[in-house]
Amino acid sequence: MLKPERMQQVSIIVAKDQLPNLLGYAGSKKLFHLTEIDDEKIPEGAKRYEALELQAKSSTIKNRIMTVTSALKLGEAIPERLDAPINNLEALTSFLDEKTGKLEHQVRQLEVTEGKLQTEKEQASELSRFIAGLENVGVSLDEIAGRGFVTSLVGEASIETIPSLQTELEQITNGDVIFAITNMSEETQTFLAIFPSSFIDNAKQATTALGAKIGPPWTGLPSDPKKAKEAIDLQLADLEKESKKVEEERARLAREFGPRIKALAVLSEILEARTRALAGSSTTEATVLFQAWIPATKSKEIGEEISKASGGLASMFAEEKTTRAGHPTEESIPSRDPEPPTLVKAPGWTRPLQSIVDNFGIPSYSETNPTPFMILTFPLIYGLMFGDIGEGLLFLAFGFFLLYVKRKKIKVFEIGQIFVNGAELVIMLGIGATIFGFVFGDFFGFDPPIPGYHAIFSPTAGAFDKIPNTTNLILYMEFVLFFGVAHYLSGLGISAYNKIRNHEYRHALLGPIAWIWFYSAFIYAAVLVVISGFKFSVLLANPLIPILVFVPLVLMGYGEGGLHVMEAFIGAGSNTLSYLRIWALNLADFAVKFAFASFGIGGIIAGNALVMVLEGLIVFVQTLRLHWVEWFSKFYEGTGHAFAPYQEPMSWIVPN
Amino acid sequence: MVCTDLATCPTFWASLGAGLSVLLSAIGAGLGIGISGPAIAGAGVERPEVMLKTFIATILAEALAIYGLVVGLLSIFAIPALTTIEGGTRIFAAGLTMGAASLGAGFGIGAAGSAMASATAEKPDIFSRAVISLILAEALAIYALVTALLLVFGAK
Repeated sequence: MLKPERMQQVSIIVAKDQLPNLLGYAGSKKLFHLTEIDDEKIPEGAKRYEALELQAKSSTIKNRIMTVTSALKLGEAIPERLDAPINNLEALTSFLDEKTGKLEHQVRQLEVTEGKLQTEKEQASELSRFIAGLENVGVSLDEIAGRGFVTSLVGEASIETIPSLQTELEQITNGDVIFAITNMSEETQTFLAIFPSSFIDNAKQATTALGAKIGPPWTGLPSDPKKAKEAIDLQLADLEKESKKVEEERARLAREFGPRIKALAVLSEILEARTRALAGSSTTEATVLFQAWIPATKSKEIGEEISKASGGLASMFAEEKTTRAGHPTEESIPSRDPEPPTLVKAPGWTRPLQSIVDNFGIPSYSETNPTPFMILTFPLIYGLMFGDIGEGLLFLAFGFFLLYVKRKKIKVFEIGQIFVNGAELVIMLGIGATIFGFVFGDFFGFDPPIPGYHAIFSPTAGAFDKIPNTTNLILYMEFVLFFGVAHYLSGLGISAYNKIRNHEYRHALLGPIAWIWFYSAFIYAAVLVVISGFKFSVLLANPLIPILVFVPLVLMGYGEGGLHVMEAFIGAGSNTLSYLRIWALNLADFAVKFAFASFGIGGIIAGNALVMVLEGLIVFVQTLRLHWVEWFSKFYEGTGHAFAPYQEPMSWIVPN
Repeated sequence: MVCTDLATCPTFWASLGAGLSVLLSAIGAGLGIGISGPAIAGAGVERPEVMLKTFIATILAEALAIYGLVVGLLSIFAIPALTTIEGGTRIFAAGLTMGAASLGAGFGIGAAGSAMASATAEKPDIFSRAVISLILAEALAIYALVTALLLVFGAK
């Protein structure tokens, strides 16, 4: 947990016909971080595996299956057992291609029917609207009836010609035209034009001249517009029924083919995973060579299992030790080997904290993982700002509720999911807040109603009295500053430990150890100045003090450069003062509750709700910040890359 | 206490300070949220999963208003005990310090925050580095808070 798992780089040689067995084993174990083989490491007689075409095909198939899935609006389904040629990637590709093609045919027919229906529906409703409009403006429908006053033209044209078609029709009919786009696809749009019937021949001619397809006109409409409207409405109802049928057909297809599509989706994922694995490998006539990182502790066991899984036709070799992983020194030639991937083994309940660290940067292979320390410091700093028994217990209850939701895997809305994922962290923060609530004697802004209980130390005691007594407040401020100093030093300590562990003794001495020296001397000098009542002359009274402060700075400048000295010098002041936010937010927290308390019971509830929601969030961000900025900047780089094991979908059981 | 002349009235100066602290801090927080907010919304459109992360800018800006409120409230609590014009001017100075520094910090958080949000939407792993300038801007307000609180506590 403190250190990433030791990794070992291995090469695995497998006979080609045992490849599926090996990959199947690796996919279920999830312990192989496959890497691409360097050009110079490819053995003689072998060449890089040509997987580009296969990769392209597999991703195309995956996309096609996804399209089918969304076209059928497929929900959850149990994958069907398909007798797929899973042991041969080429055969699997063509198998998937063929099966997907059949499904696509079915779906395409459905989509074509649906498109047609949609167009007709749009046209009918457009006509219906037009006739309704005539009725509304009071044009006597009976008057136009029977004279063939209006006619309609429907058709399909490419998107580019639609505008010129519209202007053409407007010219022909002297502007007496209603032109509507009723449906559009990627390339074409269908339109509906309504105009006086005397222009019909010219209009038809112009339309075909522009290359538009004219659809069958609305025939059989009664000459009486009122009746025409009724007929159209009737037709609309029919169309509605038809689209219901299409919807039913879709549901039927989804029911019938759902399990098969799911199975194909799983197979396509396996295909994609395997082709990706092969893309980094090299091959000869009969064998394939992979390169991978595996946890060093399991290498023996894995070696045996690999051989067993592939009938003795695969073997694993450890790569020779590289300098990079062990102890890089400036003198040695920088190795070309990339850093091993980082795999941190940690109990599940530390996941939320680990993700806070990972959000800053994934720990690199040779770096100490700060999460174990944060299990202590995170709730501690949070509690120092937010200590309140009542609110702490509410947080705790909320945390356990979130944990319940998380365990039961209940789906919640988007932002809620973030809280659910961090359930354990909420519990930890609740514990911190409750413990410090007991220390501070704060219960929703009042004394805790516990008989015989006295606050151990209340920072705000007397601060809000008529004649304020700020003794405790000042004391708490001093405590917080010294806490900050300790936190700061612990960061430097970890930095020194990291460097020593990697055998970078010179860097350790001139970097963090000199920094610790400087910082301790700086704080000592600062305390002297403050105690003397801000008389800076005390620093000169003892000539040892300036020497103590400046000698490590010179050492650091010599070892790490001037910028590093600047950072240490400025940081010593501003980073330490930054810890004062703990004190300030503790005060702010109490001040808000205190101010609202004067409004009676409603004010108390509102004040506490405000504090819990808003301050709870702000305090969290400040805690995060103290870790990310003040603490991590001392020792943590976070430049690692995560261990991403080769894996295949688990739900698939290969049929024998 | 009853004042005869405003210029030498501690209550007048102290009240002015308390008001300025809250008012200017609120403007600062508003600036910070107002400048960074649109960029955060934009980042949310482009990459919804980083939106919550980029909210840190508005939360830090909101903290400015809280600092102003702390100084303002403490000033108000100190007013009844004031006896000298020196105490009054100390509180006035404290409010002005907190408020004006919040204005600066708010502007800084806003500008840095909006850049951080846009950068994070483009390249999520730059977040931890991009957020540093934001945090430095916020530190400005912390310095003012320390100064202001020392001033208020010394007011008699």
